[in-house]
Amino acid sequence: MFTENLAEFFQVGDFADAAVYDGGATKNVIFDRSYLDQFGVVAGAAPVALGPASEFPQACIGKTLVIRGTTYTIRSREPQADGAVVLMKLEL
Amino acid sequence: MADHVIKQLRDAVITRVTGLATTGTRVHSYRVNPLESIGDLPALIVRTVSDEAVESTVHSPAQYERIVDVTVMAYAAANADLDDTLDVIRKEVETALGNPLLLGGVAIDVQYRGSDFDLTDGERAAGELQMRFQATIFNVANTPDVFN
Repeated sequence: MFTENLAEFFQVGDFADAAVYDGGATKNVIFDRSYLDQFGVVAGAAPVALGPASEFPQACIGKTLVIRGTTYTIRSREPQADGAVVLMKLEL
Repeated sequence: MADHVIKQLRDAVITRVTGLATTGTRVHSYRVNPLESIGDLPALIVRTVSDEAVESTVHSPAQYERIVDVTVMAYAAANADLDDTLDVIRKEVETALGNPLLLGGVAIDVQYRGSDFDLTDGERAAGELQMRFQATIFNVANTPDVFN
């Protein structure tokens, strides 16, 4: 069975950012912070980080990620497709 | 000619809820650009969304009795105690509008009718509290800018 090398998709030189996870290890994630319209009145943002599921287990919820100098808290963990990667919704 | 009685009512409500402890001067009537979650909140938006009118006399020109729906929308953004913040705002607004407005020499009660509350997530969770009020005002048909 073919095992995907996920590290190829999380290269800092390409699309990934180096993030400090839980005040300790550096892990590469693909970060996005798109505009979020809240109630049609408030201009907000919806930051998310995509990372390998093996590096961000279920217990990552509530832990921090420092990305581009900003400290976020992981508030949800959503497996994507076959579950090899997870989408983490972040909050300040 | 003065402003329409509904505008005078809306302006009076805005004046009454401006300067409250939590929302301060962040009070708006009509707003095109969105409120920034950092810097513009917590805030209030005051709207006179609708009114219903009936003739209250048989004379001509008629005198209208208008029931005006006034909505005070409170917005806040935070990731902790957001509902408590909105409840503080609720208390401040209800207190401010508890005494009648004086418009054109007429005392007008702005009566509380209920509220709706909603939250949405994001980088900062945002909360919306819609507080519904009603005011009953009278004017003669050909002088919509004068309170009777």
